Amino acid sequence: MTDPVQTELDEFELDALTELVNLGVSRAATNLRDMVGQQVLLSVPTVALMSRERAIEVLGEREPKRLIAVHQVFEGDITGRALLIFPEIKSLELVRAVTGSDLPLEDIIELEQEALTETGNVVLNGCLATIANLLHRRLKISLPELLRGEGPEFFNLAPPPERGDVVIFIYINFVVKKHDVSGYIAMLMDMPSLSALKGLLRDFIYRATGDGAPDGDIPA
Amino acid sequence: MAISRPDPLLHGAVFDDLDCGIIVLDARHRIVGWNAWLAIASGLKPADCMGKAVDELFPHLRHGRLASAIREALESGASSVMSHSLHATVFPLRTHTGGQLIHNLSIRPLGDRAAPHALIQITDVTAASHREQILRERQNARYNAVVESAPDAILTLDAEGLIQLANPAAAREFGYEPGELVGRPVSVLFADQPDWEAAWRTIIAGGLLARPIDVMARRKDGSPSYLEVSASRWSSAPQLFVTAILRDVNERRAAEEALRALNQTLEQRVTERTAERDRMWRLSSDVMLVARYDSTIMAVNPAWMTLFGWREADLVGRTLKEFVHPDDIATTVMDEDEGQLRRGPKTLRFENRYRHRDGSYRWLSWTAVPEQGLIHAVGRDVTDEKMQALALARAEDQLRQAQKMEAVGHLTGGVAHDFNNLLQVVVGNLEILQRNLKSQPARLQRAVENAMTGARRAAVLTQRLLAFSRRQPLAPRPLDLNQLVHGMSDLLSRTLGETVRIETVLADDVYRVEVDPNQLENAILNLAVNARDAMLQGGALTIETANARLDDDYVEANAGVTPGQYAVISVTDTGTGMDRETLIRVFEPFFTTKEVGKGTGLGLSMVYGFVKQSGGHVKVYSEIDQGTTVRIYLPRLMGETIEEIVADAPQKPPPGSRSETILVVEDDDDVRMYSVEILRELGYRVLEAHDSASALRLLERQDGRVDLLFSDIVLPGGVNGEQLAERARAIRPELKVLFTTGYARNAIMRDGRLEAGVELITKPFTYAALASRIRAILDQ
Amino acid sequence: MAVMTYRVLVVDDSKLARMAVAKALRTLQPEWTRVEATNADEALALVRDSAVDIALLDFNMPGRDGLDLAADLRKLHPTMPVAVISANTQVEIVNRTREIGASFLPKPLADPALKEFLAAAALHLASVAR
Repeated sequence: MTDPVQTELDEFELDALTELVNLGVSRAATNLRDMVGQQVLLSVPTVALMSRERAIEVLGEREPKRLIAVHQVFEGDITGRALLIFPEIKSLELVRAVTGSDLPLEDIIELEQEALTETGNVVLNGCLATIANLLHRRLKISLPELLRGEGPEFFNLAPPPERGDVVIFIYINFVVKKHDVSGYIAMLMDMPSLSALKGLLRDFIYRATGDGAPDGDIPA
Repeated sequence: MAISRPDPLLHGAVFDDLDCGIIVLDARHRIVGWNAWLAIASGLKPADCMGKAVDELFPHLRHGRLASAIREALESGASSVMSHSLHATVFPLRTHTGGQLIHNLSIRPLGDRAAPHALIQITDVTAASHREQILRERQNARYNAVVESAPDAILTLDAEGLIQLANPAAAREFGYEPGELVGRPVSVLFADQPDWEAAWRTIIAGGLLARPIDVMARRKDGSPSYLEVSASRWSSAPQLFVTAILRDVNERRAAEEALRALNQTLEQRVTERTAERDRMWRLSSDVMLVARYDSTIMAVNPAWMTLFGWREADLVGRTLKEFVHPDDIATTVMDEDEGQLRRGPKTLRFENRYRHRDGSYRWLSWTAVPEQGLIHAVGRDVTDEKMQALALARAEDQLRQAQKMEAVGHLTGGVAHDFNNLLQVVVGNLEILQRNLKSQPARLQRAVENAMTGARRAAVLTQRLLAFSRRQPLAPRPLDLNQLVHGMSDLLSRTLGETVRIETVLADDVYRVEVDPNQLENAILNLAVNARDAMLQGGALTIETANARLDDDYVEANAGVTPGQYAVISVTDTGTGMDRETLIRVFEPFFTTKEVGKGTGLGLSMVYGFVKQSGGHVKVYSEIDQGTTVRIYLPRLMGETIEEIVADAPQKPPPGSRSETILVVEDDDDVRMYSVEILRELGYRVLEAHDSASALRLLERQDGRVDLLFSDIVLPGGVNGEQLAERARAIRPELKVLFTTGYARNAIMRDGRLEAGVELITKPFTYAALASRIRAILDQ
Repeated sequence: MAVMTYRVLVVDDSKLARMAVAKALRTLQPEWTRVEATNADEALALVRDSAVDIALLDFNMPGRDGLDLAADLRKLHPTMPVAVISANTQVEIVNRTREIGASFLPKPLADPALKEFLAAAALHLASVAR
């Protein structure tokens, strides 16, 4: 049974969204690099559109263990939640990567919470702010909050905002100071927001390419 | 959301009394709000800050997190946090007491798109941080005292096995820089260690390690480190950690290793040596045994099976004497020299024969050594060598014998030849005397008769000598042995007398042979005479003929025999027999066991010489009181019909006539005179010459015919009789030739036989013999 | 002065991004021609088979990234002006781009930045041709 959400954006809109995500994640990497002080290697993110149920399924399949998520809410023409999700076991690693290995274990443990939160904050903001800018929109993005748990919990948080049915599911992989951190960015929104997004994407395409349709001819 | 303007007092008071710092920035990043708290904390009054950018006041903040956070807030509406945990000091702030103010920040968007502002909130976390810090420090102090200074390596690992903490001792132990281990998986230290993995699983699952486990860790440089590990789990919710204490047992281990290696080396050496000994024992082709002094066999090696067919069970427990050849027991020194062996580590060497399972014996050469109350011996099979040695000795003996015979023969031959010539003269003259003394008194006749007898016997003697020396010319003819034996029956009966019974066992299919019949008769006669002398009380003489095949084995055991088919004549008596010593010397000339005067001792030597010269072989078997058998082997004659042997009837010497001319060539004047005389008496016309040259001259000058050339084979002047005959025949092709010789040793004789067609009469010849021979030749 | 037309290679896995560059090119240099590739291998094949004067490469691509490709192109055609375009403006990346002799243009691609690059490229090509 085909996921109905998947068909919501056409090929070009998806391509545009992917490009936006690319740009956003690149920005995030740059910001992360400034925090860390060393080059952050970034893989090409994969972008998929799916329903919330499907997203929970996928996450459950891929990351069976306990997860950590940095959570932010965005409001504006599109409203929803953004989550940076990665396995809990990676958390200390990430903190070390971000803070430096010199700190004693206890400090790391103490700082884990805050460090993770801020790191997640940097990544999410990098993405969201870039996307918002390119879509020529100003979103109000909340302060970050750290969650521990599993997929279903993350995707079933109490409103506000209202529970959305659409998930833009982005798989990313950073290498920070030789620490391999791969995770997901999930942007949850409701259908109206998706429609709005669709419109914004169209505008973006138009602005970028000069017209709304793809150019098949390449002048010789 | 627009910034509204409610009650200024409320806002002002609230704004300045907030227990946190506030900065408000406009769209151009300029400060438009700076509250009292912050003024006190920063020491910067609002008037100093308004309208300026943050990085103007704090240049170090131009780039970095704060700057991007501000930008993101203003441009994109994004909110950010900056934690003191990641940013030790963003703003330089002081507490009321002058100490460093540790703060967290949040940067949030304010206002709307039309008039975007950013709000920076600064929160004092000094106290909390301090409290944390004190707690931490207290803990750390306690912790440090233990961990930092611990001589043992201490690692703390998270639930995934990543090293979160490694104390200085750990860094030292594994050869890493301080801090290098943190963040690495513990597998860099413990790879492929099932003990460790099992322990890990236990601990993570919540179990306890009953006792420390031994593991081998890998240092940074790859070298191994042996450690005793104890570990336990603890949690700092929600995280699980495992702290492990690793005690260096390298020294202990090294000592254990050294000891183990030493033991191993010793063990190994012992094992190797034992293995080597075992190997030698097992694989040796020499027999080895261990025996007690009383010669009881204690242990034997597998070679006994190979060499003698005895299994271990057959030998162990029995004594050596049961296996040693009876003849050799005396020489086996086991018990004889018991005392000797015990006295010192002397090595004994000796040889003896051991019995094979199949009853045969093999020679062993032993080396024996006493050790720890037992005798250890190694024996090498020298049977072949022994046999060879014996065969060699035998061959040498035979050779010596043959050489002796040869030497004697040489001597006797020479003597005989000369003697022959002398005899010729004597006999010849005596004959003349005899003929012319017919009318004289009987006394004179008798005297001549005696002289003749003596001379004749002397002739026979020389003949025998010549026979022995194998120099006599033989005239072999094809013969039927049975016929010959039959022909001799009278002669044998007369020779043996009445006390000896004669039996003949003659094989019907006996092979034909080619031998000189006279000499064979002589031989048999000789044997008969010897047999008679051995059976003085009477007995039986058996003559057998049979066929035999002398094969290679026979030939090996009896030197000088050609293998092949032979006809055998055996002469067996039931007489006194001969002992071994006699048997060995039986063919030696002049060797006799008979009393002086009763035998010349030449009989058997003559038989030996004749048989050998005829290509045969003679063998004597005898035992004391059992009798003697003499076997004469003569080579089989293939093909050819047998001539009837016609016995010469005694005849009146046939006369010659004056029409027949004989040329006598002889360098010895006396012999020539004699020959000429007899021939003239016989009625022939005789010419004479003393050498080849004068003979040839005569032949040339002679007008009339010359019928016969009668010449000695040996002539002076470089041209011998044979050559003379050739040249004579060239002048007178119809010339017949009769040779004479006393000692033939030249080309005419091939292997002691005459060439076919060559006539020869031997000296000394009787008047009758010469007459009939010449007659026969001229009549051809 | 003859107006030189150059052939520009645009490499980006995103169709949108390629279109955006195309649009910019049309605006800035309407006479010039353009060829496109979606990854490094395609790009190299194009360069081998046909003449390319200038290259514009996206950095973050699946397979070999734009920087690698830029380095290859610089080796194969030392006189070809190459630009790496990326939102990933980490200083290390920018530095590396410059080290191999390529230009770095931030994404989203602003017309002024592209204009500047194209002008420099044309100048360079003209000087080399002499």
